[in-house]
Amino acid sequence: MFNTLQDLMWHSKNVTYVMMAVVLICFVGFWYFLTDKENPKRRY
Amino acid sequence: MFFLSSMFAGLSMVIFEGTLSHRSLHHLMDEEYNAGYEDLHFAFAKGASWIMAGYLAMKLIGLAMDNHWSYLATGYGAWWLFEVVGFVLLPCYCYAVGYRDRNLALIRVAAPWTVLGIILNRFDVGLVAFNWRLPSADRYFPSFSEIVISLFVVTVGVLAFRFIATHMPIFYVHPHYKDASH
Repeated sequence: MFNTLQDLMWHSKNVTYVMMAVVLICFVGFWYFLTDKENPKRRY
Repeated sequence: MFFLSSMFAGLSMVIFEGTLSHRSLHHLMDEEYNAGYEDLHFAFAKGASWIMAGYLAMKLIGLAMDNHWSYLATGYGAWWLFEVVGFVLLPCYCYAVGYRDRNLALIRVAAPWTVLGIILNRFDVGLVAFNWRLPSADRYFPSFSEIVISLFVVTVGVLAFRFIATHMPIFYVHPHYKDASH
């Protein structure tokens, strides 16, 4: 229950920032999932 | 969100249209066109899955930003979940697995699935969720003439594509320009 707009914004922003961090970590995992069967590019 | 969804809609539509073209217009395609066909589809599948993952993330973050989690327990929330899970998450996974395993058949399934999802999304925005608080009698629904005009525009698009693809050098190099470098 939020009594003021400040409380609501505080809660929403907290959840959003945590989710953004989780999403960014998930993106790294997704990128590895997507590309781990690709042939590595030779750089020499 | 429209801009982001139009990106994977375009990629999916090219894969879908390419699959249909290969079925009915394969005899018009030359070797050069066919040589890069599979690689192009794999590249598009990789791009589409990546963009769809970003779109999913933005959908979730949008929900969190507005603190609308409670809507998920309603009928509209269930419909939202049906759209997001059924027509974004699952095709995204299919594209990713299709690219990873070099499975062109799976990519060809994911492409029309994604296109259907985009159509559903546009209908949701324009019809289902438009003025959703109003009683259903006051809500917008297209008239018969609007539906006919929409079908006419789509039909003209398909016919124009077919006319251009069968009468102009789209799938092959024009004989007069075979040796030209471009």
